[in-house]
Amino acid sequence: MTDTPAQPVDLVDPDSFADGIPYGYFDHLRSDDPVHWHPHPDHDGFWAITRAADVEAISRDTTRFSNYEKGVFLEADTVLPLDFIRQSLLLMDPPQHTRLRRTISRRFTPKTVTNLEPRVRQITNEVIDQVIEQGTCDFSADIAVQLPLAMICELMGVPEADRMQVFEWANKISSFDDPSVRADVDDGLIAFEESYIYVIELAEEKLENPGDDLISLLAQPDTGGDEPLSEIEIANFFQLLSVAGNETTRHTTCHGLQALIDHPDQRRQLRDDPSLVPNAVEEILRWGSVVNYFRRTPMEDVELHGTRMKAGDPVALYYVAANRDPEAFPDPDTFNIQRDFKGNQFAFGGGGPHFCLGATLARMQLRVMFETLVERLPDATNAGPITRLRSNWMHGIEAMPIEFTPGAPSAP
Amino acid sequence: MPYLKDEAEIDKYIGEIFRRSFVHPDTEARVKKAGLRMRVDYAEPDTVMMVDMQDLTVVVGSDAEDLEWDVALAMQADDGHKFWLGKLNFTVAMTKGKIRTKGPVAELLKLLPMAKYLFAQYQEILAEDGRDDLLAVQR
Repeated sequence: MTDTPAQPVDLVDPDSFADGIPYGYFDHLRSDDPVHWHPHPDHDGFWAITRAADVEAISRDTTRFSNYEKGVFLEADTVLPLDFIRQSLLLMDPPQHTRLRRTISRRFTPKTVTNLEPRVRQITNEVIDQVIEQGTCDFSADIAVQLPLAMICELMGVPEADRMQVFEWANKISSFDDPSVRADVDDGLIAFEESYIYVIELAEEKLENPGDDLISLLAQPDTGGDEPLSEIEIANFFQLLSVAGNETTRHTTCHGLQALIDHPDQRRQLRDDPSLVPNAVEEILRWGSVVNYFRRTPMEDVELHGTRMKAGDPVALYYVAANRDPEAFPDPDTFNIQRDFKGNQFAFGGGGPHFCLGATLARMQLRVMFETLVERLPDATNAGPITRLRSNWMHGIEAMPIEFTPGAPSAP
Repeated sequence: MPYLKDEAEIDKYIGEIFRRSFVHPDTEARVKKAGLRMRVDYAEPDTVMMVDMQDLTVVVGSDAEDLEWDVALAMQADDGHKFWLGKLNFTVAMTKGKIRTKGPVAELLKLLPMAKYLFAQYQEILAEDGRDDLLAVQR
């Protein structure tokens, strides 16, 4: 953490995040310049919003602030062309968003997630079994990345035989974030298209032969009278889960372990009393907030704290700054697994219609993961420097070598 | 020198892919379900192709220019030829601006699962006409 708040930081340059989030600069913006105009090399610039209350208010105001208009990134066509990702729930505005979200929510319920928990626990233990005798591993690649995607495949009913292929696609797609780790940008785009086609065909098959998976449920009419999702809508939802849900959960898991390594007293508390894990997960989500920002576009001129944001101006909601706002989280730079949360932390967005649809699933996965980690790898510690994702929008950990006292696999 | 030398070749080879797709058992249902009116503007050679998946018709040339469309694409005819040979990825081409689109792109995505069947048909069409020269395109 930096103590030189006045030093300007280029929030567009991914290298500004090379050593972690520039929290000191965000502290300065939040306190002195909460509606800050920041230059951008591709266009005039953008507004950086850093106060928790403002991030929440704009997130909820889908009448005046659009996701659809210009997408959710500051750079055009980040990840994929805007026209492509506009089909995703993340880039829709009401009323299209309302209808699709309601249709999904009626089928993707807390009960769906609860039913998955035994399988999540089993997979988590199997993943740890793979490394526990070695006493060392890359926590990011060997553990954190394994669970979320396996769960998405499980949830969506991807046949066992196809899962390695789905993993490969997701890995290629996710490397969009970091030019230094992607071999070829075309690989990611081709993987996107191939996986898209795969899910459309899978959805068509499940329309013919429904199972007890989420794709089959999404493809069926429900008692609420909503139309079922089309194959395209199912494919878009799958992509959203497998890119957004997979990467964010993976990186949060890494940040969580790192926070526990860095705060041995907190880890001790968690080991002594595993009932603290659910609250610890909220603190991990706040502390290691993975999505730095998402963009909104005002559909009319909006005045905030005496500053006029014009219609069409890019507005970046910095969740990562909101999560360290002392107005929302007293003593925000302290990692405290017993923090008393009055409201939501901002790792799942600022609230309102775009609040993360996968939050319940992510929370359950993280809870099971940390319950298992404190029990089975209680002394895991860093075995080398971590490698951060090079990105101005995603706070990720690509590699995290750890070492621990070897143990026995949980099952033969 | 473009791969397809004129409007007639575009009609004869690329237009034929769609005519066959309307009746081929692997693609017929998907085409009818999509029900799209797709316009493609080709350059070098310059022409317009309209594929109407409601009326199951393909029109190439000036007659296609004023027809109503739901989604439109524009590309070099050489890129169209490479696409149908399976040597140009649609998403990559769109991202790089080689294929430009107007209208709801999601509607086009619906068609992608049948592309693999159509690639095979394009090869058949060219082979039937003895056009090994056109089949031998490098990436």
